[in-house]
Amino acid sequence: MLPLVVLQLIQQEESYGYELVERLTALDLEVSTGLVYPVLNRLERDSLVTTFSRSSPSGPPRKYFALTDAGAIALAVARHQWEQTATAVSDAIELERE
Amino acid sequence: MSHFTPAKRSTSMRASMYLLRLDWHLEGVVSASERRRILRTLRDEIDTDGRPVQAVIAGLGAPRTLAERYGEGGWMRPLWSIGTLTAAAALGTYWVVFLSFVGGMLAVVDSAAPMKAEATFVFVPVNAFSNDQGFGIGWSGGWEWLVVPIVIIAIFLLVGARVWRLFRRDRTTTE
Repeated sequence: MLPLVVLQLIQQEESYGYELVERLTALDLEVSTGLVYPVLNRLERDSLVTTFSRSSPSGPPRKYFALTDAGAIALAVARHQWEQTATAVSDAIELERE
Repeated sequence: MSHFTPAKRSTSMRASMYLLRLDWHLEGVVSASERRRILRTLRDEIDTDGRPVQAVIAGLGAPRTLAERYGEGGWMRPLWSIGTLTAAAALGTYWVVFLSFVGGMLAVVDSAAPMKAEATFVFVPVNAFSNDQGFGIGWSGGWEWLVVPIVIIAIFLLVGARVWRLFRRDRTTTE
């Protein structure tokens, strides 16, 4: 699930590593850099995200992550699968309530 | 500014120590090129993170756990650093046993001097002598002298690099 959310956030706005952790935390997800950095590494290795350097007002330039075309396709597929799963789970819970 | 330099050096050292430990754990789970890339990226992340280095390292978690996350889905690789240590220990042990053997021979011939003895230790011909003119030990300079240590190094390098997997507390699946 974490790669899906990370791809979604990067699609919304290009971010650097720790900024993504902060954005995930703002969504009430309990994550740390130790969880997010390996995910970013895999996404970059699989060419789903690309990186570029952007200057920072408070120090050296930071490594930002941006979605690639392959990443956008992978995100669309993952979102579709997630929506199917979420719908199926919701239906099952509704059936139990009835 | 002089007051800033010591703190920065301490910070770099702490981060370097963390990355050194991570490097050790990564060796068994990712390729060498991937390992270098991960370490370079993490060093950059630590350097550009605005928080105190203690907080940055605490967020990354234990080096071993972080390495396992990076290696998720991969296969367990040989640990050549452990292989090298094992081979060095085996070679050292071979030398100690060899010299003990030759020393024992010398003690025997010296106690029964004048005497000369010849024997073979793991294919290597050795001899010892003791007489009125002195005592000494020696061994052959043939192919055995070179081949036996090389074979010992090769075997323990290959075994040591792989056998570490048996001693892992959490054996991950291999592909």
